Amino acid sequence: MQLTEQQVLALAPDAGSASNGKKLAQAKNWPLLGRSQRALWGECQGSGAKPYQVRLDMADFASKCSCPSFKFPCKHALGLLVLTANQPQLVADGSEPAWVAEWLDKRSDTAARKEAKAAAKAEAPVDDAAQQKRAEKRDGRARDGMAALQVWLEDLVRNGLARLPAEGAALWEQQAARMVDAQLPGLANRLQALADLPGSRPDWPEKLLAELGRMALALRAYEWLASLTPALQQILLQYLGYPVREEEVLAHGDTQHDEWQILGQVAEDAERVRVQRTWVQGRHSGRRGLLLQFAVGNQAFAATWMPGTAFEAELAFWPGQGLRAMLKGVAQPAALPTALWQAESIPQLLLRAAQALAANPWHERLPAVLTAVTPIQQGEHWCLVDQQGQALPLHPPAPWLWLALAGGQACDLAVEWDGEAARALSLQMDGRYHALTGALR
Amino acid sequence: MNELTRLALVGTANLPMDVASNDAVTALLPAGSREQRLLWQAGGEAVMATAGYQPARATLPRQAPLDAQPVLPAVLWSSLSSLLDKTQHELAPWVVQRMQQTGYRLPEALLPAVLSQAKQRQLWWPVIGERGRWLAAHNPDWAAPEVLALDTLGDAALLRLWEEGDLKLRCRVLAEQRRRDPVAARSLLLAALPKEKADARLALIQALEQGLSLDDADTLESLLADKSATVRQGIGELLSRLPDSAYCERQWQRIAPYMQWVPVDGGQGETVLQVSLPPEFDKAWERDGLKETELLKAKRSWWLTQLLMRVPPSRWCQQAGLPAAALLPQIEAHEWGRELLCSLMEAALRFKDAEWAELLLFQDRRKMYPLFMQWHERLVAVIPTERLDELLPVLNGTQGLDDIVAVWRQRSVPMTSARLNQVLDVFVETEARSGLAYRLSMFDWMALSAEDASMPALLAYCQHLQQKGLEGTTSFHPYHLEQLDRIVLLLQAKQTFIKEMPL
Repeated sequence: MQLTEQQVLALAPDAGSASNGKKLAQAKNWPLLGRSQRALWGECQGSGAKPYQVRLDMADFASKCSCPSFKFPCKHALGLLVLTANQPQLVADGSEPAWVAEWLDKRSDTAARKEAKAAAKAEAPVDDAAQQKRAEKRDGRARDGMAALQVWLEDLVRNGLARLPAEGAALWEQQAARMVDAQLPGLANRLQALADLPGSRPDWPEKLLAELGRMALALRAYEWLASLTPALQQILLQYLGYPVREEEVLAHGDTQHDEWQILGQVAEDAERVRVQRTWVQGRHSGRRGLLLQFAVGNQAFAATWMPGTAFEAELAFWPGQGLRAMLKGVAQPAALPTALWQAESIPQLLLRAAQALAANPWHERLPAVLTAVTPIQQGEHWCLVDQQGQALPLHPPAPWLWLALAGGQACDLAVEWDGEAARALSLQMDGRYHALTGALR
Repeated sequence: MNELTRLALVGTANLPMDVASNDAVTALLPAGSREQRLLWQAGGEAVMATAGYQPARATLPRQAPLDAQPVLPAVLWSSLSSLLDKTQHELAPWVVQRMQQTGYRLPEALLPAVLSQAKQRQLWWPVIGERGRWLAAHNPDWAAPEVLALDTLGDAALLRLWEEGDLKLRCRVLAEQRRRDPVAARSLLLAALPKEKADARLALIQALEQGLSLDDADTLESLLADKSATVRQGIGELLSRLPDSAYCERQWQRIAPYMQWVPVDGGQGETVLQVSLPPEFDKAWERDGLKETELLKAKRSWWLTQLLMRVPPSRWCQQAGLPAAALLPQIEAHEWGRELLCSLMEAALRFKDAEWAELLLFQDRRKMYPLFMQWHERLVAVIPTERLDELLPVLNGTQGLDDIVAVWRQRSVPMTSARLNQVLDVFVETEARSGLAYRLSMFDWMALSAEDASMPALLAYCQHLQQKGLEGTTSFHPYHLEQLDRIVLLLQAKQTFIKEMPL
């Protein structure tokens, strides 16, 4: 299997970079090209006397270029990748030039140092008394915040939710701000997300009540925190917004080494912050993971995960048996997958979802590869249906690209299931990976 | 809506009774206020409902019919996507045509992008294949572009369109009706005109231009009584393109007294042109579309010009008994030479007189400068393509080249190797002089219209210019270098399509 231009251009930070990258994807612009097991490199002749040196790590598609662009990846890195995708024969295997090898080694060193630092920090002697004091202070603030939220929630249902569409977003924003003050950002985000719900869809009362109910369950569970299992304690604290430092995850988190297939990616704009969910699944362990990234404004996401590719690495998972994970150490390139692994039936997905909810009542989303499904239009909405006629609703937009590619024939499909509807992530057709998230897909 | 949600909507303060809920959840509820219990109940039921989600039932959809046409080779997909964005969209019509000739269809992955934009849908519709048509049937906004094939309609359907269609469609219907039955078409027109406003009357009458013949002359004559001067002028335009019409004869009779070929004293059959200006404007001329006054024009010479431009140039030769080539020097040298030449040029255009047009192209242009520059391209447009091929080396110089290429462009003349070589010869000659950079836009058209065999030479020449620009041996502005780069990319893309889709 070969990388596709569509996959590469999906990494572009904006349309201009994609267009310029494509223009650079011509052999004449690249006096030097090469690749090794772990890297891809090239020299791109710009307007200056010295060509720009571009290097890419083929495991996680991180790139570095000697150009002054602040965009990431820059047009030269994109051009090199598009050229490799369209004309792989032009890029011959070779030994890495010093400027490539040094960069790769430096990346490995940085990752190793980060890991060592995390371990050292985790093992460092702690001032127990001070830590205890800080925790108590925070806990006190959180308890006050949760008590206030409990009263507020009770007021809402006492006075009736029917008045909420007329109240506007300020009501929710105010309460969210209180939760920020109480150092409970998890609750603050959930309240903020509910601001636009009242009156926005016919079933808003059911959706709103369910969310408020889940929140009330969390507040109640916190009162019994000590009696919960350690895993559930972690889950609850993360739901409320207690921070888990990456160093702790690296040092103490459950780890899994495997060959990871990147199933798909969903990017969402929250208030001033962009959130990117990258879903992966392990080839041998069968474990699924979520690589979550945040970026402010136009800032690029720190890591470049290219959907449809695979990498070999150790992932460290957040405590609480959840899906969220992060890279531990350095990823190694793996062969491009020719199919989506671990396809399962709709009942199998729903059983997994039920099991996840049994372990974590606040569980939200999980990824899956569904066997032999096809899209079908039902009125204004779209569903996916399997060969037994079992259907799951699909989130908008309409799945035009999937419909065009499959022509009504069944195919395996990567999805993100949130208990309400599936979001089509990707499919493999004729040896090519097709991302289905994004405009008109 | 369930009872629990109804209670939450109304509010516990407004509804004193609790509602029945899921027994399993209720059994687990701890003691608490009504509001607390409602919220926990709602949370518990939400988790249970999600955990117990049951898929709906649906019937499997119909599959797309099998496509006998092959998909465009994968190596071209990248180039194809450049045609869909702004990068090389100008090549798209050629690629569509090529795909039709070679029997390829669009790859499935590009169908949504093509179908979702009205312009793209219209352009690419012929090559979307069975899969594309099947896909389009799923979206009411992706219907087939409206290309109403009038020639496939029956007479009754055509008549209905004539009665119900908008002006643009009615003009098309009239042209189609003329093709089927010109007499009936003229009757339709005559019946419809009294009910129309001036603009519509003019548009419908102008629809007669296609296939205009002497048979239309009587109808057009009868319409000269129109109360709108603009409509009358439009009719006069049409009539004055029929050299044997009564209209042209009438104009000739009017001009004859003011244009005389008088024998030279003592000359042996030699004549000299004597011109006098009409003393006054006859109101009857107005009916034929002539205007009494025109801004910035002297009245009497303007009357003469208008009459002359409605007379076939061949009548001049008949009257003088001389060939056109012999007449032209006298006309040029005449006191009213400028006005006479203007009239002749206009007449040569109206009557598509290629002989006069060619002669006028080679006249002493200094006399007519800058007026001549405006006429040059229009005169070239009267000359048949084959003759233009012969004239290109003679009409060399950039003005000639510009105009000939403009006419080729207008006529969609294919850029054969022979034509390309002639053009490149002119370019090579003028390369050293300024002005070449400003003619680069010509290469856009040449790149699109070049035949397969001409492509290598055209690409090589553009790359040669590119190299000269980079070396600084040609004074190209950076903008022109960018333009050249774009043209080279366009040519290379076209070469790739030609290579992968041979005819």
